[in-house]
Amino acid sequence: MSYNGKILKVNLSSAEVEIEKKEEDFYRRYFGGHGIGLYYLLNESGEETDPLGPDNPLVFAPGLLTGQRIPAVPRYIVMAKSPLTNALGKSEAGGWWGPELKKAGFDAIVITGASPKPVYLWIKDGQVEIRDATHLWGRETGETQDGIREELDDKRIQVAQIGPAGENQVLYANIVNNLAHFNGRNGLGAVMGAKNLKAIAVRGTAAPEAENAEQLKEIFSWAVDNISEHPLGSMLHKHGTPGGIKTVNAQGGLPTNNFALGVCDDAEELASEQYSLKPKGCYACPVVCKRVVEINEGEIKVDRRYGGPEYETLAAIGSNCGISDLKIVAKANELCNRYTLDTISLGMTISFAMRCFEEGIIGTEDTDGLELKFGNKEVILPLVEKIARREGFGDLLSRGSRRAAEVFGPESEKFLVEVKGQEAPMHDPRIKSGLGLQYALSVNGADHWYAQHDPFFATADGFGVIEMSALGITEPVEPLDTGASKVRMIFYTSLLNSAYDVLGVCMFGYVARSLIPLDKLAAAVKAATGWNTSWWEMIKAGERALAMAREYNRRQGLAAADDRLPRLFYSFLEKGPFGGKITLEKEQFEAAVALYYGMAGWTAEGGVTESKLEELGLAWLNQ
Amino acid sequence: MFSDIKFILANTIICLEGRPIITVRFISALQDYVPAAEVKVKYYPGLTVRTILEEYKLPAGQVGLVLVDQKAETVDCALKDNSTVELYPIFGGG
Repeated sequence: MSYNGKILKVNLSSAEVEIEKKEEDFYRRYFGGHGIGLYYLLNESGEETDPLGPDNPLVFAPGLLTGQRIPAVPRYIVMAKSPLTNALGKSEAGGWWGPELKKAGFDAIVITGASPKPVYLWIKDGQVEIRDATHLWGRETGETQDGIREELDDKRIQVAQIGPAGENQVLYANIVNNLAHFNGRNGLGAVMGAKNLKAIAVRGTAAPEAENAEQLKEIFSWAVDNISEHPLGSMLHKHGTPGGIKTVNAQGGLPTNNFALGVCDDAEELASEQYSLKPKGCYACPVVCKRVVEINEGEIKVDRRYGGPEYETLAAIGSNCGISDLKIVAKANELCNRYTLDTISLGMTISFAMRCFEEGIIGTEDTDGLELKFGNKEVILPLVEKIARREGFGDLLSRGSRRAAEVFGPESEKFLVEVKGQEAPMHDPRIKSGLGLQYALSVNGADHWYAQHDPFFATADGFGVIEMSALGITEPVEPLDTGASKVRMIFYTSLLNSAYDVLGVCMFGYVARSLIPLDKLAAAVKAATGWNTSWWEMIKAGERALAMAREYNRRQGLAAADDRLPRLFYSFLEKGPFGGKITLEKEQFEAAVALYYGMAGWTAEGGVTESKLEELGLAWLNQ
Repeated sequence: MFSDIKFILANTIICLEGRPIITVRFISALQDYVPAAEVKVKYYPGLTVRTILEEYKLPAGQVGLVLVDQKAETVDCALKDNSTVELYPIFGGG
């Protein structure tokens, strides 16, 4: 069946635990992941929810397929109102925790209230216990994982947890499982911190039984047999996401000096694999693309337990801060992982402060004496420490760039690179407009996996066009196009990505970014669930979750005006092949956003039309 | 595997003296799929990047950026003699 039929509900204020049973019709409508998460958030959130208050429900939900022996389906989502954006917070992670929760007998956990003292949840094969975590509070992630496993005497326990940055409610604190897999964005670690919830430890021994386990085995074998031959899958395995640095730099879109330049002269150094060890993977994944770095040179030591800097981190803390010293970036990454800080928002908030410093908007009197110049690698590690502890200038930066701009003054606003308060990831819409649409339309602020990426659709030979022809995307679209073809590509693939999310699929295992095609995934869904289903139903499940997310944001006071890009993206890059040219026109871009609304059945105000809600079986949202 | 005589490895035979040559550099991950990071290819009118990719059995979709003499081009652009071609792997998502 691929689901347990049980949702675990925990009220931390009253220390009550309840198990809610659900039938097939519930899963057929909401599947898993953000589908289930939104069902509970919409039912249990008020309209003026304080993200760090006890009334903000926090949901952990693996995908429908998560836990099955299906290749590259390890993911689970964490959702709540985001303290960073004051909009829907949602962030996915791979690793091992999601499959373990399914094996422990639950399809999701809904946490309400707040504990009066630090606690952690211990879930084992259907049994649930709220345990004291006073002795773990203040500890880094490695110590906490070791402590819990030792205390419960089982090394196979999977731990999703926060470090000191989450406890201190840094607004972009994240959640980690297995020390190197992150629900990275939207500050959901701060929500855990506000609830005094240090960790959720899980051990399970029986995944829901698949309807046709033999067929799943065949699909798994196919993926194992083909990974090394597939052009994209094998590149991910051998080089991971850092393999993209040189390409993006040569394209002129590598965020450099707070998105001013687009080209980093020393990108070669950031792209170096000299400290990389054999990569690690996630549950039941043949791709195995997670970077592992170890450094034992001089004063800088980086522990392999905490993974290694991925593309986003290399750019956010590296080139975007003018830093090309890989050892410093790798160490900053390790510290962020010990403390649970989102490396994208951290790097972007520092780069914003650097730009303001260089422009004379702030000075050393504001920065605790730190010379915040681009390229000054001496400030990076001290700033990570200050931000995690919320000390001095670090306290201001712990609130993200938009709140820092309110303190720096209006002159600083033109250097902001955020949407809905969340800092942009490391993809510049000025060289690929579809990323701009993703950033603007995403319910949870600038997000680079709202849809598929433009380069795969740029030519008729592109893997996007080849693989997504099954969804009706049969023509290539220029990376800088903002016309109907681009909007359609983003619309269709946003539905696909949302479907991937309700299933628990990792983008790095499946088309267009990797090897497993849509027909094999559909076969896996049928084999796991026993449902008579097709991509039509799965795309509709993705569309339903997107509509629910829009409704959640509408209730929290967001509107069409929030679906906008920062003004910096309408200015030109200062360097590289696109240097000095305006490539994204505001008027055309806004017309593209409006066209997406029309295609999606959304209102001009950014909500969802009544007829679309009816079509998706969501009329209950209006009652 | 690389039978076409138009394609000669840079580090093996240099027998093209006086003849126009295209220099092809494979960047980053693309080096895993070819015998050398840089190869020399004999030029002939109408030669395109696509022809070179086909010789090395690289799908065009695996290439995210083609630079010909530092300028972005498509895989179907006709090359000129003595050009330097740089090929970067495709990338998206992070």
